[in-house]
Amino acid sequence: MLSTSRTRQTGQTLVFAALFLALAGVPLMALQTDVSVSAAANDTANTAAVQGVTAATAAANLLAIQGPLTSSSQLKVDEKAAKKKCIDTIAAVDPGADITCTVDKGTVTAVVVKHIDLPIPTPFGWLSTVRGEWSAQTTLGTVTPY
Amino acid sequence: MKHAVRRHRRGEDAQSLVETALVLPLLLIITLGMAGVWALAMVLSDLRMATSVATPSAFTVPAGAPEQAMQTVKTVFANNTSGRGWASASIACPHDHGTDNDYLYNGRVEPNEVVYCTGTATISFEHSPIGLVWRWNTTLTVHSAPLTVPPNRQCAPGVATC
Repeated sequence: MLSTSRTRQTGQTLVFAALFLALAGVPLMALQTDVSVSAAANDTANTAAVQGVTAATAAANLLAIQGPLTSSSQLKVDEKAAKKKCIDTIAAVDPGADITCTVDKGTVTAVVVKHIDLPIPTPFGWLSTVRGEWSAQTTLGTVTPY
Repeated sequence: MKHAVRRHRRGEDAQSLVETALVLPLLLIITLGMAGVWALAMVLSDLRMATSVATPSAFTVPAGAPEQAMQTVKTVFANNTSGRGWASASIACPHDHGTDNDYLYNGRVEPNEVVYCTGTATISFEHSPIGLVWRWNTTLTVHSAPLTVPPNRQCAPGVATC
C-alpha cells in the first residue's frame, strides 16, 4: 500500500517539475538571455550617443571668424561639421544603428535607435529596439586655442 | 484501513500546499530583487553618462562667468536626466577645501585647475512590481573625472582678467 503511495508521489513530483520547467523555467531562461542581449545593445547605443555629442561639441568653425578675435560670440559652431562628426563617431561605435544628430544654437543632440535580433523572439517585438538619446553644449575653444 | 489511507493522502496534500506557499513568495522575492538590482545598474550607467556629459559644459560659456557656467552644467544634466522615470536627480560641483572647483565659484583659472562634479539620482520602485519587494528609495551617486580647465579661454564681457 505504501509502495503504491510512494510511486504516486514520485510521479507527482515529475509532473510538477515538468510543468514548472515548461511554464516558468524555460521562459525565464529565455527572458534572461534576451534581457542580457538587449541590455548590452542598449549600453552600446547610449555610449555611442554620448561619444557622438561629445565629439561634435568641439566642432567650431574658426574660418568663420572675420578679423582678430575679440569676443567668444565670434565663434560659431559649424553645424554641418558638428553633425558629420556626431554621425561618424556614432557609426564607428555602433554600426548599423539609425542615427539622428541635430545641432541647434550650440546644443548637439544625438538619437541612436537600433533594432536587434534577439536569440529568442519576444511577443510584440518587446526588448528588440534599443534607444539612446543624449545632448550636450558646444565647448568651443577647448581643443583649439583662440 | 481506508480511513487511514484517506487521512494520509489529505496530509500529503496539505504538506504540498504549505511547501508551495513557502516557496512561491521566496521565488517572487528573489526574482523581483534581481530585477531591482538590474534596474539600478542601468540607472547607474545612465547617471555616469549624464554626469560625464554635463561636466564639460562648464567650459561652454566664457571664463569669468562662474554662475553661468554652473547653470549650464545643471541645464545639460537636467536635459539628459529628465523623462527617465527617476524620483529625483541633481548635480553639484562642490567647493570643498575652499579651493576645489574654484573656476565655477570665482571664475579664476589657475594652472592645473580642474573641474569635477557629482551626480546624484534617487530611484523609487513605488509604481512598479519591483516595489512589492524593493520598498525603499535608493540614492546613487557618481563622480565625474576631473577635467583640467582649458587655458585658452575667452573672458566674459566686463571681466578684465580671468
